[in-house]
Amino acid sequence: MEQYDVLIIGAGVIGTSIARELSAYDLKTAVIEKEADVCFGISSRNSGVVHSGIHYAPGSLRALHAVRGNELFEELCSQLTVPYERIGKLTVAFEESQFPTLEKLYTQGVENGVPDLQIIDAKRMQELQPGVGGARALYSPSTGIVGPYELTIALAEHAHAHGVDFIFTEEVVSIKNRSDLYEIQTKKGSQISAKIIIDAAGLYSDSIAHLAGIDSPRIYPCRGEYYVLDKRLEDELQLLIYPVPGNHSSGLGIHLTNTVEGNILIGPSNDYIENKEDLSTTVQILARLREEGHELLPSLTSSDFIRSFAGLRPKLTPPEVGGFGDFIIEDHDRFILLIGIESPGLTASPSIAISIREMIANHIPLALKKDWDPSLTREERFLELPEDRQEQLIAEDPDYGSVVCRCEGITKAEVLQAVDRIMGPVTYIGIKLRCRAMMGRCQGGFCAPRIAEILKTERDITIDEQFYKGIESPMFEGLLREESPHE
Amino acid sequence: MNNDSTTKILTCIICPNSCRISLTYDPDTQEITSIHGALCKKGKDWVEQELFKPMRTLCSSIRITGGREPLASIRTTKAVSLSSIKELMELIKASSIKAPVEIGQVVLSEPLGLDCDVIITRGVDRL
Amino acid sequence: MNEKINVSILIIGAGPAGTAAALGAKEAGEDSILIIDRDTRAGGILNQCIHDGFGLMRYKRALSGPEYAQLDIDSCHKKNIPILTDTYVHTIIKGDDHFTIKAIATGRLYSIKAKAVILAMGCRERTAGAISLPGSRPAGIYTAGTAQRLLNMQNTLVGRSCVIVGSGDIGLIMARRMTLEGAKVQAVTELQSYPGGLDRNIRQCLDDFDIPLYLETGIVSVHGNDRVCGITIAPLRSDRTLDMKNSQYITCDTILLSVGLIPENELSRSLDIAIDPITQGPIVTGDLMTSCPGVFACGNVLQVHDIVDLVSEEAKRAGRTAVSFVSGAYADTKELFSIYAGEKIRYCVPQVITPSSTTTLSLRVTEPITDATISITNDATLIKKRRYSFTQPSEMIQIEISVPENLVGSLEVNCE
Repeated sequence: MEQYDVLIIGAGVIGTSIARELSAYDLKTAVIEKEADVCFGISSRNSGVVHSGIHYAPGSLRALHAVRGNELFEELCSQLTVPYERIGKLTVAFEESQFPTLEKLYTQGVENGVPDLQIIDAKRMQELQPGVGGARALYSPSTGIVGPYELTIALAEHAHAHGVDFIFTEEVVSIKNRSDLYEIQTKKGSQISAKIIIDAAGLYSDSIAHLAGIDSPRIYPCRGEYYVLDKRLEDELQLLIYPVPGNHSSGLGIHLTNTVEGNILIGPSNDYIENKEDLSTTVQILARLREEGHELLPSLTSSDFIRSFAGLRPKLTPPEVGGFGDFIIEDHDRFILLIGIESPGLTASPSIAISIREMIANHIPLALKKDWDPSLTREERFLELPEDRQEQLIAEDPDYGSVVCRCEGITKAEVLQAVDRIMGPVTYIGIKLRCRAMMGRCQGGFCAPRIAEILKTERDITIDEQFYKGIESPMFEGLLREESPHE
Repeated sequence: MNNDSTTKILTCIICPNSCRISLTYDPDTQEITSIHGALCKKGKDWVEQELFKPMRTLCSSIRITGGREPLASIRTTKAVSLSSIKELMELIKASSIKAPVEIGQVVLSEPLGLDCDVIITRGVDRL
Repeated sequence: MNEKINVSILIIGAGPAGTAAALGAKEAGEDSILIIDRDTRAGGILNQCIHDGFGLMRYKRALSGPEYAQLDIDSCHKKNIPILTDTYVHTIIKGDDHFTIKAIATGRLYSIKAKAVILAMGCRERTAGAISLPGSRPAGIYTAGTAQRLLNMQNTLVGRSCVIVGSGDIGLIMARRMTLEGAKVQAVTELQSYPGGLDRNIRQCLDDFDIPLYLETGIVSVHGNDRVCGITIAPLRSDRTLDMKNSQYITCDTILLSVGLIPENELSRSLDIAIDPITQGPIVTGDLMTSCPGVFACGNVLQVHDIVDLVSEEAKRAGRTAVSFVSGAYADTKELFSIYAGEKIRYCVPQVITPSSTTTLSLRVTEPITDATISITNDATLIKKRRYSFTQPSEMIQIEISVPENLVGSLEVNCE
């Protein structure tokens, strides 16, 4: 039985942030994940906003971790070479009746320690975002945007480079507390033991806690649907613009969000659902998002909608109550429960990781590794490099000249690097999240067949072994005409 | 027009003009009494044929061994009866040719005794 | 390796448009031509269109796509017109009297100077996102063209049992291809009350194999977490909403989308070329010149065609006028007049014309029309009138007109 000091359940942004934090210490740590890859759940399906901290009640964990997390983001992203921009946000009041809410958010933000908050008038609003509607706004310059999956993947890779094990496609089905050690069993029958368990299982934190006999509150999955827009519209939006939230809203309202890649998102909607696996988009919501999109962005055309997707929030408040519950972060006899880490979970993640490390220090003495290097360097995208650097790289590896993904301009060398960086089974989603091939306006129409060919010829992955998002998810039926293996 | 005649409108598939040809015929004797709407003589001939024995050009792919690409595209040189296509496909699926192949090369000569050849329509170089 | 090249005319795309444009330019006396294509093989989308029916107008024979493409590729080779494949143009910069084009290929970078550029990049398929396909996002959802490439070029079958969403030509062609290869095509669905593809394809791709076509039918939801396991469809009510009472679930492992094509004008946009919101291609003059002098457009990057023979013809024209531009014979002081798509006309290309010229108008109607009369007028003057016993949006109509010397205001195309 493999024995660890710390076993983290869940490879989302929370799990990987903790893994990276712990990788600096002399600990034997592993992350176990039921899916084929990191960030296959909540962490890749959100707005990618690093919040300032104005929305959360003073003294709450959300307020604490959002503000501290926001402060940590710039350094974290520069260490890990993750795209991050502090672009600022306007929370807009459209009518006078909303002004008190704006004031309340301002006061709350100041109390939480959010820097540089200002209430601004319509004139100043126009300077920041020409054409914006509304009478008055709360301007929070510290709000930023980040590539949520780029971050999660970088955290995981960095942790892995510093000794953290990653175990994929293994679902935890049993957790037994043997006085000083937890024994874990997986669905496939693997057994693992660990002194400390971190339950960072997102939507399934409650079920994992129940396995360990811990009386955790239940999670209500709440779905948000989004549209992704063509990069053509990138310049239309200078900063984030949110409406003033309603009193009992469980989300922050449908809005436009810039992404670090230049696509604008429309969404998210806010609907409680039953099934934690149901990532469907719906006719009704998509129609509503389109309508709101056209209203918010008049130059939008039908061909600008390149994809829709849905993400789930792990809510602690039932549908009839709505609103937000606070994060729960508790140490139950070396089983550390993290539950209800919905928005601002991404923002909070670096701060939560520090708190978890401190909680672990109560049980195991922690010693910093001498050789721990906080940075993870990564080559920029080939087509964005200066020409002399391109020339140099192309001379080293001719595959840099072969463009596979025409929409995003991703080369064969970059696709192969992405394939090789995947820690678990190779999947198309894994490739996509690591190099952006298949993520552009044609959505893989042209490059997915090229990638199928590259996997086959360069990495010996046959057509039958090519998967979309996991080993239960075959891309193709098979060969049309039989091929002999030696061709 | 007598009561036993049937009128059908068929869209000609000879060319992209897609003429809507209306024809009247006696279902018992299979005798065509009138044809309207064809822009050319080919269309008239086609509609007569289409009614009782539709003919189609079969296009598919054939396995190429030792080539730069695993498949070459192929087609029949003439239209064959629709009813023979299934059997012809089975024959094509079971065949393979060594690279190189070039456009026009006959890969199956008068298959199944049909009055046509199967030829390569996209060349494949040797690996 | 950074290779520097100087040419008169650079053509981007080696599909039927690019090769024909090159031949047109060559015939007009230009020797300094280069074609660049991002794919590993010249011929463009025709390489995967292995069905026949190409070349009926131009060669009076029914060729398959690759055969048709090869004829022009061979002519380019014979006339020493170079074609660089696996080469990707990522930047075009307009200079005072030339364009600088940056491209990359396996092992090399290119920096090209050209006096004129012909855009012939073709189009891409609309995706699940573009049509807001509702439901889950499992493996097994492909655009029809992607499935066609995998099947016809890469020996890969995408599924065994499929539903085709949209009745565009590629979808219809794929319905037959999949069926011939032993897959079961359960149905083709279409939002409109008429098919998106040509009638001949309905007949020989669907009717021949008893594949049902559900018109005025929308998608309720795609099902399946890992791989597609089914799709729910429902007829549209008269207010265009889904009639859920009559919805049906169809079991399938694959969904193919054939829901339209979008001209690939990202490079054009980088030159700030004006784009027609309907065709989504550049706004051009009768000479096929875009709003950026020296840049021409032809083929599917200009407007989506249904017949390749017309692409070749259009592209040759672009090649010829590009030559007259680089040789200085092109008068750019010509006065321009707009042509408007009027009653029952979806669009008209070109969008602007010059007086006293001969121009071929390409247009499509907005709905199927029996006994259609299309008239081109200027002010109250009739320039040309054509009658059609039947026409529909899937068929591009071409009308050649002689533009008079004296024009008043703009021209208008109407259908009744």
